[in-house]
Amino acid sequence: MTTNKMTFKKRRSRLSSSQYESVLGFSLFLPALLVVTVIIVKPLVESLWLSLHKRNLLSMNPDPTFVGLDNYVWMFQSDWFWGILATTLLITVVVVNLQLWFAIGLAVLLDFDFPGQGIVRTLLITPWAIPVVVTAFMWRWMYDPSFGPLNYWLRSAGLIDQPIAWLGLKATALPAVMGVLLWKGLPFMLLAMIAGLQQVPNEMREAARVDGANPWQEFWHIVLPSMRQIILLMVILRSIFLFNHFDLIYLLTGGGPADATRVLSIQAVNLGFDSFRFGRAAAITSFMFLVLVVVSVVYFRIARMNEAKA
Amino acid sequence: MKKVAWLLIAVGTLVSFSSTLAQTELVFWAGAEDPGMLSIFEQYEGEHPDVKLTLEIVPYNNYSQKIIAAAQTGTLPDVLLLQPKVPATFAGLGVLAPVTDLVEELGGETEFYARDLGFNTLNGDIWGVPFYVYPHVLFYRQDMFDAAGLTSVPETWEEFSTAAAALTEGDRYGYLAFFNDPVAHTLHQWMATNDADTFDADLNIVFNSPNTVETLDFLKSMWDAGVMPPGATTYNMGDARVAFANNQGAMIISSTSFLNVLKDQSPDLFATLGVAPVPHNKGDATYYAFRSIGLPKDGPNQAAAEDFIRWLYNPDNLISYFVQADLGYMPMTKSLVNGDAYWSADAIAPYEPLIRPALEAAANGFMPGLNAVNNPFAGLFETQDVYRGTLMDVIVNGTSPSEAAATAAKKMQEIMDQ
Amino acid sequence: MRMTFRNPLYWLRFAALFVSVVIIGYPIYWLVISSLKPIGTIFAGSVPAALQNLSWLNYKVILTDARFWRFFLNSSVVSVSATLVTVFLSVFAGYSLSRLRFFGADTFGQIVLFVYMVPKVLLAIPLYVWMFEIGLLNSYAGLIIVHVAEGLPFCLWMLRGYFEVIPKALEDAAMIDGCSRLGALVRIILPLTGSAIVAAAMFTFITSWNDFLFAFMLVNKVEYQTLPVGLTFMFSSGEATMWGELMAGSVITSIPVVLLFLFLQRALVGGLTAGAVKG
Repeated sequence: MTTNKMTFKKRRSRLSSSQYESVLGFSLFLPALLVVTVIIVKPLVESLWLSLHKRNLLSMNPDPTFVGLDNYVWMFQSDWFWGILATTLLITVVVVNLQLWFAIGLAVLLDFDFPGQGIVRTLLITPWAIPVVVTAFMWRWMYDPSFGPLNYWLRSAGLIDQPIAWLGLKATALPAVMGVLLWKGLPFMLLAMIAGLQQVPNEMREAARVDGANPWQEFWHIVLPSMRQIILLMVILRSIFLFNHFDLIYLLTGGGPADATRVLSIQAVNLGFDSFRFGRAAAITSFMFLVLVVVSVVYFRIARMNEAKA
Repeated sequence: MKKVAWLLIAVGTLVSFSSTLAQTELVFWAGAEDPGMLSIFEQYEGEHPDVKLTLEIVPYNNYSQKIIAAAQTGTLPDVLLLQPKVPATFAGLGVLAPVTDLVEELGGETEFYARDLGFNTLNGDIWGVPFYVYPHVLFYRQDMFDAAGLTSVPETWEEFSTAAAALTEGDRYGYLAFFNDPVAHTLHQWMATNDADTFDADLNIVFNSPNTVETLDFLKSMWDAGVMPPGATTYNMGDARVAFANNQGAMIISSTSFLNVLKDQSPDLFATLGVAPVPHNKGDATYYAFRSIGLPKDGPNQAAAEDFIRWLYNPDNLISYFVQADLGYMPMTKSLVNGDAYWSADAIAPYEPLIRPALEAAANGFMPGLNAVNNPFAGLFETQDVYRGTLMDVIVNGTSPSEAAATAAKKMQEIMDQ
Repeated sequence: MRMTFRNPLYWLRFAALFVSVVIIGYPIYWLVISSLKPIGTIFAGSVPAALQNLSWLNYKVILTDARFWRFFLNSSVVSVSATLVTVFLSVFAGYSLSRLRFFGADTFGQIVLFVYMVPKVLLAIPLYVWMFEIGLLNSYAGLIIVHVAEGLPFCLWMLRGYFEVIPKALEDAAMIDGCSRLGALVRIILPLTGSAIVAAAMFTFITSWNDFLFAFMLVNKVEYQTLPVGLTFMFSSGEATMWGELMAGSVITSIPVVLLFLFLQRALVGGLTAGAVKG
């Protein structure tokens, strides 16, 4: 201890405490900053730069050539872009909403002590724990018309006559994929809602009950508004995640059948890794990022205005 | 003591260093495991102690992209297995070294089939040595045929769809088609037998020819007739094969490599398994797939690699490979195909009736987009999903075949123009 | 809300919960049962997930396959390392953001969310090219550092939120007693933030263990491949999809994470709570 004190005092005498704090703070922060810069910021900047160039690794001229906004123009004018954008947005909006409401409902249901609470929680978390590949294979099989349980149970219950190839028909593929995304993402949302629920001050709830509010009113007017912050946060986090999501959709359908479930991320990967048009792939991914930035900023601004009002 | 120790270390280092200097290491890329190759390596190393062979498995998905990436930083292996459409694409990019002379040495057109060489040729040079072939054939269940009262194996398209209908019963389907594989095998299997092609000899796109449209029509009509499992639009070849091996269907068209899978997983099936050429319509080519052996451009160990290849193509060594390789991967050299040694080998003999007809049909092989003239575009059409997209368009979207083919032709033109 | 089991609403709740659990849990139940059935019996038309014909065959095939163990080893090395590094970095960074004034501290704090917005597919290409040039493809280090970058934004934000809730008075008291800042961090703050750290570690571990995209893009060679991609390579290569083994491999791959969660779920919820409030 004595040695510490001495070293400490020695260091202290050289820098003022705020300078010391500054240096220490920065150096503690630096490693994290470095990793994030190199792995995320640098590629981001490179992608943005690349999106302004033409880079086709399979052409006679594989070096990047500046083409300005050509790639973006090509993208907006293409016959596939708007459809794929719509699919991506649809998935994002629908799944996030479903996840949110199911999670809130489940969280409220779970909000009481009962034997085996830990086990139940673990069970409900498992979809998140299971790797995406596993989820994909599992559900591909679940949806299979020839030997999947879903069709089996639906037929047994008399709801359908013939087995339906859920992932193979245009009409059902997108809902089927959304179902899997919902299932996979529910645990995370549920955890957050449970956490949020626990934050609701008990006094307010008691007060409301004393005032004669029924459980529904208590929920709608007290509980829900208190959870506003975490709901806002989860909605934006999950929306970002789903908008950008690649793994599960790619593994489930690869974007098919006949592009019914093709989202922006899959299109970007196809352009980049299958067609080697890296400039164009970068345009798509840069667009995705920029859209998210703009939407988030707008979202937060609106949320802040609403909070100011409330 | 210290001095002695240092001396020993120095000598030891020198010795090991010089021995590694004397040893050449050849790196061999393949996309999947190859027990035959590993035992060949052992054999070669036994006969040539100064060479060490290493097999690196670089999974076949995105194989082309990995090769290009390796080429860009000079980390290509010394020898690599090439997928069919690759030689043309890569040759154009300067990734490979020509092996024209080597092929001549190994026998040229006397040893190799003209079509196989053709698919490996671009701009007058040969870029891959044909190694093994696995043609697509019709696998069928004799027992199901008997049960349905079918006495003959379909040989024409009409016979095929009739048979499929007769064989469909309840949850068992007549034809286990699959549409969801990136290569669009199902389309090519049938196009080959209908004289339908992607390019003509002048590199004009003829994909939207009446023959192609007819092929798409044929598949669509069978789909509508319900002889294919509803999951066919989500199946890739692996899924369909598993279904076949588990009695879910009476017929499937797949490559002879399926035999290896069956041998491992459902050997009992061989009792009622039949193999026949794919039923033909207007043409009688056989859709097939093969692997060639290629060399990187300016590879540092090119001489050693060529030596290995020369050794490998010695008929005895080649037979040694094929006997240990997966069943269904078959030789592409005339001496093996026409000779007795290969067919009388213990591992091969029991299966001869199944694979010999397939191999003979492979003499008239069909490669999507490369039949008329070799070009670097065929591979692109595949990676950019044009073939599969067309198939899915017709089956899933219900687009009319002529429209779908026309759209595909347009897309192909765009790709070529870029 | 306190309810005794005499209250009929208690039972209603219990029932609703039960139904939800069944619906969410059935696929997992089915996964496990399928993994215990040899492939032939799955097709036999029997009731899916019925408890007949169970055998350990699929597991035997997998557990005796050396490749599987290689994948398992690779995943373990990568995920454990990534978790340790991420927690380490985000504890220090989170602390510094919440306590210390330094140049640009505020901006960095806000950037975190923007970093989270970057699509993984956007990173894939430049990262591939860059790692290729510096030779980090097909290596543990390459994948680890990418996973760290993936986990940092969330962990940093969560831990920072947690740190801000802890009163400064505690450290000040310790420092007056002669402790250095770092000492205060280690001795006073860290023990209090146990559950947040656990949450951060769990999150990073799960993300890393389950990662598919980066392992797929940045590792071509089989010796360095991790479990998720490795499973695909072994059993779904297009030659023949080996469903039984795939399901068994899937179960094994999921076990570490599920076990972790079973033991740490209380801490996880606690960690998310505090982090969320401040975020």
